Amino acid sequence: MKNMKKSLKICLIIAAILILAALIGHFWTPYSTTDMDVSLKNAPPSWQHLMGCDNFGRDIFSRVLNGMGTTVLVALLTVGIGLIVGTVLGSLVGYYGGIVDTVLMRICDVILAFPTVLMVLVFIAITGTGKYNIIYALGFLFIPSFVRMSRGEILKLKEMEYIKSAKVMGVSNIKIIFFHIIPNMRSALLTSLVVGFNNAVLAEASMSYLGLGVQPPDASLGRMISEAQNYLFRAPWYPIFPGIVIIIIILTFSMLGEELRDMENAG
Amino acid sequence: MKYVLKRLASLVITLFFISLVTFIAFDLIPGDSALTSLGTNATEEQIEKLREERGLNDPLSQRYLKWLSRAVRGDFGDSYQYKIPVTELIGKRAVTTLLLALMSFIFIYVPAIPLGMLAAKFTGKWQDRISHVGSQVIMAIPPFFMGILLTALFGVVLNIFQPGNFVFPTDDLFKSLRYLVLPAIAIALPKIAMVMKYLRNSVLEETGKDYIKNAVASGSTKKTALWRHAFKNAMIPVITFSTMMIGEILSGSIVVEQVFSVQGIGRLMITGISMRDYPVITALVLYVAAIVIIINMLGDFAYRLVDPRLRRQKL
Repeated sequence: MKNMKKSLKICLIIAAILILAALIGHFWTPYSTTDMDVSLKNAPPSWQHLMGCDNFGRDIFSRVLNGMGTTVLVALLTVGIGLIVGTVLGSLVGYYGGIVDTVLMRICDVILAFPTVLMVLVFIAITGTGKYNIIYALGFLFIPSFVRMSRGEILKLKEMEYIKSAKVMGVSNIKIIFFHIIPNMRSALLTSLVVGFNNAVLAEASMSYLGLGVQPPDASLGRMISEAQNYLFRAPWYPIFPGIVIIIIILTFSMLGEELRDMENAG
Repeated sequence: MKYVLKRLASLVITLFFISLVTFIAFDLIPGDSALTSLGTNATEEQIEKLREERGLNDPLSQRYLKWLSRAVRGDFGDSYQYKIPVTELIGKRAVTTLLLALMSFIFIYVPAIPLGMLAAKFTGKWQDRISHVGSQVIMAIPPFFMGILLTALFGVVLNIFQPGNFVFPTDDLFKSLRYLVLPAIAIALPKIAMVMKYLRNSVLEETGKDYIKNAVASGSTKKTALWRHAFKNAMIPVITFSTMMIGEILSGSIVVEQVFSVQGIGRLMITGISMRDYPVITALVLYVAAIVIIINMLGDFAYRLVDPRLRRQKL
């Protein structure tokens, strides 16, 4: 913690605040996210309602907090699926090699060659819309990049002296993979985790904006923006605030990813 | 030539597999396309009749072979929701999307190349740092929100753009082009930052090499060294990057079409998915897959043209 760069510290603090706000928003919001109040219809921002009110008189700040909760939850679970399945698969095929390795990498290449949005759309066509379906669809699509990354790392690590000595001493292959190799990939994993989280936030927001992701009554930032678009002229604060929150999340995590990469390269 | 044929064969095989996988996947999906088309008020008999009409009661293998034998002749069946041939539906919209993609491509590269070179020239100075921060912020804006911001700026503040007045390019090319300017900018802006950053790093890598130092040492000005020598070599990775960029532009276009109500293939795909219009989705998946694969292929060819070392490599 001590010899960390100042910019990295700032990024970490903002990221922590965002995650905390999202967690709080998942369980508690200052106002109800569904109660409507006609007298507050399209009310501009004020001290009582920091971000104003929407076309049903609902408090936008509360809905943004709640939407952040959903977005962050979806993104974390998605990256989690990609990380766990991808790293285990990538490590196994990278360690053992052979025909399974070739076939799996070929499949990953094909999946990665296609634009992400298109792949997500196809998967949603299969799984259907909704909070959990989008987690499955995105999670599956995050697997290939983690497979590729962990396979590359393991190919490098398995030639190291300490792995060879462990083998000579009779440590089983599975033990070598899970206790000696994977823990040593942590810095590379951390960077891809942060980058992946960012992509997941963007993908969830885009899909929910298109009406194919999170469905009401679950709030989501993307969905809010799509509903707010029609009120751009009458109540500009309605689409602007959820949009700014998405930008802040993505900006923070992309800078964090860059700082982590710099740190990794510096050793 | 042999190389080209080999790549074409692999294209056909890949498309065949993709069609098979999508077909099987859509068969596994819970939910009934007949039910979606008729609504929940439909009677059991009506649904059964429609299922029979669409051939949904036949076994999967039979349906696939029937579809395949038609598809190779260019007939992808009729859309469930529009009741017209899928090819007709896609044709008009594909023109729109391709036009939008082409415009975005121009809007990306025309400013990004000089900006990237400038950023490389001023590396480490305040101009470089400003452009770095600026591009970080721009890249963080989701394309759909960028579209909304642009609508707000040009539609509300400047009042020179009316959202929703889309015209098909096949009906009125000029009007259509004018409407597509803003969507194209919305797609292009974040990508400009990406290309710029990529070109900058690529140029910096080249200028660190001996041949540039040599050129400067033997009396070439920094400007010539940068533009005449470093630029050419720095463009090679940018070309490969650009083939990926086309996929990114198509992705962006799927989302941005929705923001500006542009009738392109992205919008068609989204309504297709919510209406469970499988003939349309299957055809679109194949269509976009073919475009992506062909562009990757062209990228590889271009790469071999630019870099003679690759041509001598064994395949």
